[in-house]
Amino acid sequence: MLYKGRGTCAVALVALLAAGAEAGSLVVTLKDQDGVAVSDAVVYVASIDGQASAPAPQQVTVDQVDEAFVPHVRAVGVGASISFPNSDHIRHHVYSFAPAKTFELPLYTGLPAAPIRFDQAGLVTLGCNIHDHMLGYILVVNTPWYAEVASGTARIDNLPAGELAVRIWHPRLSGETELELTVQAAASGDTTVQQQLTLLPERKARRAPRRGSSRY
Amino acid sequence: MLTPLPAFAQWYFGSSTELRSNDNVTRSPVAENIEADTVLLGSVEGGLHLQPGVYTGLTLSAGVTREQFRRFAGLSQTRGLLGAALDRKLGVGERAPRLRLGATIERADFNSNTRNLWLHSVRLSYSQRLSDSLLLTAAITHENQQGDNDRLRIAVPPARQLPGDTWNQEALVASTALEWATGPASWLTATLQFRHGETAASITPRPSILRQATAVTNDPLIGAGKVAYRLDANTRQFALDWNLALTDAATAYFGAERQLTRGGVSLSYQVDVIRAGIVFSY
Repeated sequence: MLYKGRGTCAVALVALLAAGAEAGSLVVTLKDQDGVAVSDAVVYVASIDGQASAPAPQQVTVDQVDEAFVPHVRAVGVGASISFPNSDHIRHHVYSFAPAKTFELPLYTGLPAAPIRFDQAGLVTLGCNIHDHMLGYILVVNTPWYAEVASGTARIDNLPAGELAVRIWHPRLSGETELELTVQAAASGDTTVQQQLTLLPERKARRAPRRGSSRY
Repeated sequence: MLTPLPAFAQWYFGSSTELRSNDNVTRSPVAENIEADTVLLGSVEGGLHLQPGVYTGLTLSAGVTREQFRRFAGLSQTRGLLGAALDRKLGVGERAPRLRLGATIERADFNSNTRNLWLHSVRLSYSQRLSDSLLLTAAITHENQQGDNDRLRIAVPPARQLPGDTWNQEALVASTALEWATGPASWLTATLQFRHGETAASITPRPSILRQATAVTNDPLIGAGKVAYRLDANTRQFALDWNLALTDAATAYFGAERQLTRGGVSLSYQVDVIRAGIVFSY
């Protein structure tokens, strides 16, 4: 379910016109409910004036470092190929049961044999069969205009002017799967959006205390 | 410096400290012999986890625990433990069931040497994550305990000589635990346990009780004229703990436990324990 943000959410829209430019850029700034810059979010433009566009094929990586997926959140276009190098000294067993992509890379270190192609839009949750605390996300989008949010800011370049259906996704977004905003993009220059997200608290690893009993 | 390991092996390390209050440390069925105490516990544990196959793991562990009793210093104990456990995961993913067969050898040295013992245990457990917030574990454990003083013990009047060490015991324990995540960093653990087998307790000698004992030993550390006796009994144990993850490596917990033991004719006792502690895992 999408949250329709137009007219109800606090969107500050500033169009800065740059004379002579052929296409504009969308700059999105995200903060959480405490005013802290948000990371691990994805911003993408689902359509412009109601028209969707197909992404170009690309090759990216999702690494495994210190028993964590790096980056924690990866955005790719439909058709992208992702390789999953393991930079740890211990073997990992990467898997996904997501409808958008089900796969397994059994126990390995270094670089697995071949990248994996993601040809269906949707969310892919990654896990490690050996280390249950490892969790990662790949958001596969059917658009060429998307960006991962680092330190609270994302930038999408080469956008034509028009009415943008902007979607924001974060793994801990409260209540909704995605936030949708409608933004009027200028023909050139930066279109700036500032948005607050309500995020759930981060889940911590559950270390079960070992129950030892006194001998009598 | 730890030796570099092959890619299928991984060191782990943990430590814990706990403060525990026990309202019937002597396990007495008689009100006048009930004694309470508080215990400070510290433990360290480390080991090696091996993952030779996709579904099979082997954990080798060693640990030391020290328990310091405030009133009954003779019960203060140091326990050393060696263990090995074979894991079998029945599928891929966090929700795949796990079978674990483990064995431990434990040495307990008390300040009062009377109770020193070896404990051997074998445990088979099954765990299954039912949802993101629920984890169920069921286990069955066989325990065999051998005291150091396996010889004739004195029986106090009325004289009834009972051979053997009160702390030679055997028991079978069935348990189930449900872990329920109540928030992103907190969870409750409810444990239900049934223990069938031999157990030890201390009292001022009473013929009606000692007639049912299978071994009796003078127990001066509990008090002058007291005896420790062994009997066949069933113990039901209920425990509830609230856990709070402080960081990804540290968890604080607070819990309570009730043990209800019944053995022989009209012989039962209750033990209530309250505990708080913190564990570190790396």
